[in-house]
Order: sequence, then structure tokens, then C-alpha cells
Amino acid sequence: MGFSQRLAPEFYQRLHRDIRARMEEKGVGLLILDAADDVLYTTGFSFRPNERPVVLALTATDAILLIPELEREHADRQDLAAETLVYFEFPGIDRAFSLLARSIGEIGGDIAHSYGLSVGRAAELAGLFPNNRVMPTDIVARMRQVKYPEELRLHREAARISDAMVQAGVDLVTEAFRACRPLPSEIALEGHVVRHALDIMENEHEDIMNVPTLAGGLVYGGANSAYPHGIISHRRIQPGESFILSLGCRVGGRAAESERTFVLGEPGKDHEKYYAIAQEAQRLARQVSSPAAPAPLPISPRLPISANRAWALISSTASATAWALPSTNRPGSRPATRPFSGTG
Amino acid sequence: MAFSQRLGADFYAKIQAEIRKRMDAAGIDLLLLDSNDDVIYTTGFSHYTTERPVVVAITATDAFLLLPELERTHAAHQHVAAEAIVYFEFPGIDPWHAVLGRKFAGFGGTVAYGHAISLARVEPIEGAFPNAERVIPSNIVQQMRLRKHPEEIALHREAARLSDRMVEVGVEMIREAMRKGCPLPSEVEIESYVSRHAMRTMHEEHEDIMLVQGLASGLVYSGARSAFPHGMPTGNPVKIGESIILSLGCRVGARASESERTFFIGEPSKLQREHYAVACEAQRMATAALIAGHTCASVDNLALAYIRDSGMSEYLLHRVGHGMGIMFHEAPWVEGGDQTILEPGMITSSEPAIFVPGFAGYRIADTVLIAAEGPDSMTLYPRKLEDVIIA
Repeated sequence: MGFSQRLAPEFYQRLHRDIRARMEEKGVGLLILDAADDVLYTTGFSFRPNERPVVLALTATDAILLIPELEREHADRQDLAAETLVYFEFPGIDRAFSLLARSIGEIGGDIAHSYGLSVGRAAELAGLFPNNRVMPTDIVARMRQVKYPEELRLHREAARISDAMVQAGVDLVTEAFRACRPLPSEIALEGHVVRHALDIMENEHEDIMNVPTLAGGLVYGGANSAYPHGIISHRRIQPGESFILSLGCRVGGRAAESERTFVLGEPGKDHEKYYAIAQEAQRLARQVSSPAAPAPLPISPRLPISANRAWALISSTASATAWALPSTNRPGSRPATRPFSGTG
Repeated sequence: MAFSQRLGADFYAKIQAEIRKRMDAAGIDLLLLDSNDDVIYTTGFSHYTTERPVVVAITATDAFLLLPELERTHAAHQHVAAEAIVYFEFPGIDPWHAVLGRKFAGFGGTVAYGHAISLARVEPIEGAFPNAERVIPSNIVQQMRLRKHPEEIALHREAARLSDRMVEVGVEMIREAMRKGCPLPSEVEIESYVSRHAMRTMHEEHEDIMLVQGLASGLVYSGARSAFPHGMPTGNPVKIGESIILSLGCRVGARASESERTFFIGEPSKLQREHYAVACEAQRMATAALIAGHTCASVDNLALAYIRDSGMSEYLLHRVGHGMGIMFHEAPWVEGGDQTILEPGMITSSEPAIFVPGFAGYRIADTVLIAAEGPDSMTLYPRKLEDVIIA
């Protein structure tokens, strides 16, 4: 029996009950959620967001998911915690929000929506419910900050796979380095670890929730890694430089990421100095992240955080490679700008 | 000389001048744009969207780009057509809107922002400009983006060429496996291979590659799965007797194109031929109707009516198409509810389709430029039945 990614109906029943309790407290008669993540959180519906609205409308008694025709079958197959209301297209001869307003009818109390709603949609809603106050609320945004146990289980599995992605990336570089093959480019490395994560899910999970960015990450080597939000390139990893594997995935729509910095070959003095600071800062951050537990167990405990162990992974390989090669082909003797392709 | 993906400083000067002209006409003194696509359009800055605001601020004389510290060097490397204003982090002890407000301390005119901005950002903007006469939404840039400049059309055309090439490479991959008697590739393998191929082509043939999200990607689905137009590729191998949809696209200099064809693995059955004939004719009609002066709605109505009249209304799941520009999907919408009049310089997809539940989907999609002389399909991959049989 594989790991099930999909949360049970009881999870959504409890969630809706908790949301409704807060709606009642605040005098909200209708809650509108149109962000893909809020829809996933409240109904279990996973889809690729585009210009077509997908909206959960929650009242004291009903949960209605407004979807385009294009998603009908897709929604039917996902066993959602809401009944569906289908409009044909966007922008539509009969617009999606008009259909929703007609279907819901008169509402007592306020109509609340998330803060992420666009100005354009907020204006449209206000026009459709002229007798109600329409205003933003952070009800669901706040609830999402504290995870339910069922969600933690998903995050923990995502963390395990994220660690496995980092390991797969290290293995790929190590093997190429050892075999004197050209080292992988950032894009190739990213493609490889993503495939690894998808294979794990495919082989070990049931009910895979196909969310956007099921598995992905950022991979940068050398000076590229100094731009933390750059976009990965065809640049190959080079011996003697550090590289960052920043990898993550979503299991059942719940995310985790694992990120480590490695050095290919022996770390230089500067590498060691900077890494020690980054490592200590990260250790401190983990310590203070939970005042109640001074040294909380990370959700992703399996990969070594220790600089020495991370260095060792690759540098021991470098030594072995250097030992096996004629001196002119040693990785360290190659100009850093050329891809390493030892001929042995 | 390699194809350059990056638009020159003169292009951005032209765009910003046009924005200023429209701001002046609308009585707007400061325009704020916070969407990833508007930022690319007005400054050439490409970044990953996160919760950290990246905002273009245009006045009658200047253009600024508000960025988090994380993006400072990244922006400097991109020769961005705006002066950087940097805040440290989100939400920030000194938050982004406070940093923005200080840059324009005492500002008393009209501030405008795009319609797509989230409400969560409106209040901070209002707070940052306490002396502003008005803080209002504006669709200036959305309107401008409907019609493409010649420099942009050149990028779309190159993206179209690569998208066609992606389809071709996908077909070659399947054909090669059939010829060698190897197991046929899976949907995921095809998608990954053609995306990689397109990125490699860019790397080999282009300079100044603009690394945007969705640089080259697509949807690949075969058999009954192709009846779910927004499903995801799976590890299932392609099978003889089935059809497969290759829906592939890329962005060159952040300008999108897509090329999509439905192929038959082996000789199609009579039923498959009938389905394909309807999808193909509907798409031909749609493309032919993408004429300046027509409304978007009329094109949609025409092609969808043909499918309905062919007795296949139950297989209709979506409109004829959507505008394409910096985004794969953007206005105008080639749909019955959009009365936008087509104008030369607009680019839309043409992709009416039918989806037969439990059996297969049939979609042909082109990227079409509305030209003064008539529709100009920038994707050209053949579509006659004999061209789409892989045997």
C-alpha cells in the first residue's frame, strides 16, 4: 500500500467547520477564495491556474466550487470537498461571477474575500452583491499558518523526497567527476533531480496530486550562485567551485525544500570561511524558530548539515579522481572556464 | 551574428514614452506596475515572482524599479531600463511601500496602479502617498500590450519557429523509436526531450537569452488522457492505434508562441479521421477569421458553431483562443464574451478543439499575427491528415 497524497474527507469537514466558526464570529455570510492555494487548501482541487476563475464560495451551509468547463472532468476525478458549479469560458457571455451570484442568491451578513483578490475582481464582486458589505479577510490566511497533523505528514514526506533530490544531484556530479565525464549543466542537474523526485512519487505514492511545480528547484554553480533568485542556465558545474542545490517538491500540495551548498574538490580558505558563517547563521535561525523548543528537530533531518560532511561528499571523490588521473588531467589543473572533460 | 533575444534601450525608451503620453492624457502623474509581465514589458527585467514586490514606477520624466535586495545584482546584470530603488526584505522593518513613498516624498499628484494588483497592496500604496490627489486603477499598459511592436513580433516569430521545431523533434523521437522497434517514449520523456532541445537551440543560436519562467515547455498527452486538456504528462508510453497531442511552446526574449498538433500513431481509424476532420476544419475557419476589424467574439462564435453543427457540441470544452505576448495567455480573449476588435499587431492563438471523453482529444493550435493583409500564422507545422500520421 503506497503513501496516499490525498487528504481524507474528514480533514476537509473539520477544516470547513473551523472556517465557518470564524466566519460566524466575524459576521461573514459568504467567503470567497480565488487563489489556487486557498482552493487547494479548502477543497483538495489541484489545477493549473490561468485567467479562468476557480473560486470556492463558502456559506454557513454550502461549499461551492466555481470552475470552467475545461476543469469539469478534472474536478470530478479529484473527489472534492465541494459541489461544483460550472461556467463555460472566460471572459464568458455569462460571466463566471455572475453565475455564482445567481446561484447563491440572497446572503445575510458580509461577503469576505482574501486580501490576494485582484482589484478588478473585487470591483466585480461588489457590483454583484450591492446589498452586502464586501471586504477582505485574513481568516484562511491565518489558519494556514498553523498546520494540521494530516498536513504535517505530507510536509514530512515532501521533506524526505527533497533530501533525496539533493542526494541524487550530488550523486550525478560525483559520478561524472569520478568518470571524467563532462560535468552536468545547471539545467541538466535540475532536470535529473526533478525526474528522481517524480520517480519516487510514481513508485511509492498513490493519488498523486499533480500540482504545479510538483518537484523543482534552483541549481547554481560558482559565481552564478551569488544571485539567489537568478534563473538557472546551461553553465556546467566546474571543479574547484561551490554550487548550491536548492530543491523541493510538493506532496499532496504541501511543500518542503532542502538546500545545501557543496564544493567540488577541496574547499579553499574563502569557501570555508563563508560556509562557516552561513552554517552558523542557519543553526542559530533553527534554534530560535521555536521558542518552546530551543533545538527543534528539523522536519528534514536526514541530510547532513555539517559542513565537513557536505564537503567530504565531494572532496573525497575529487581526491580519488585526482589519484586516478595523469597530473595534466587532474580536475584542479583545468582552467575554471572550460568544461571538465578528462580523457584519461 | 546570433539572434539577440534582448530588446535594446531604444525599445524601452519608446515604450516608456508611449506610457507617458497616455499617463498625461489620463491625468496620471505616477504609474505603478507590479506584475511580472508588466515589469518585463516596461523595463526588460525578468525575475521569479515571489511575495516580495517588484514594482515599476513611471513618472513624466523618470522610471524606477523597486526591488528587494535579493534582486539588486540580478537587475544590474540585465541592463534594466529603470533606476533601481532597493528595499531589504518582505514584509520588512522598513517595508517596500515606505521605501517607495520616501523616494517620492511629498508627492501630490495622481497615482495609478494596474487592475491585476491585489487588494493587499493597495492600502500600503495609499499609505505611501498620503498627499496624493487620487490613487486609482489604470489599464494603460494592458491596452498598450494588446498590439505588438515590430521588435516584439520578431521575437514571437522566432519563438514560433522554435515551437514548430519542438513539435518536429517530438515526432522524430517517436518515429525513431518505431523504426528501431524500441519501446515508444512516454509523455514525460517526450516533453522533457523537446523542452531540452529548444533550450539547447536557444543556447546555440541566440545571444542574451532572457531566462524567463516557462522558457520552453509544453503538454504532451496521448490516448484517452488527451481528452483532458489541462491534465499533466504522465509516464505512460505512447501506444500504436492512439493519437497524441503535442502542445509545445517557448518564450524568446520573453515573447511567447505555441505550436500544437494532434498525431496518429499508426493508421487512424474511421472514427479518428472523422474527429480530426472536424477539429482541423474548425481551426482553419478560426484562423481565417482572425482579421483586423472582426471582433474576438465573432471568431469564437464561428468556429464553435461549426463544431456544434457537426454534432459535437458535447465535446466542446473551451473557446477558440487567447492573446499571446509576454504571457502565453493574455488579453484579448478569442471568446464569445470578448467584444475587443482585432487590430493589426495583435497576436492570438487559434485552437478550437474537441475532446471525446474516454477516447481522445483533437487540438491544433497556431500562433497567429493579425496583420493588415490578413491572418499571418507564425507557426507553420503541417496539419493535413497525411502529415500527422506517425508510422
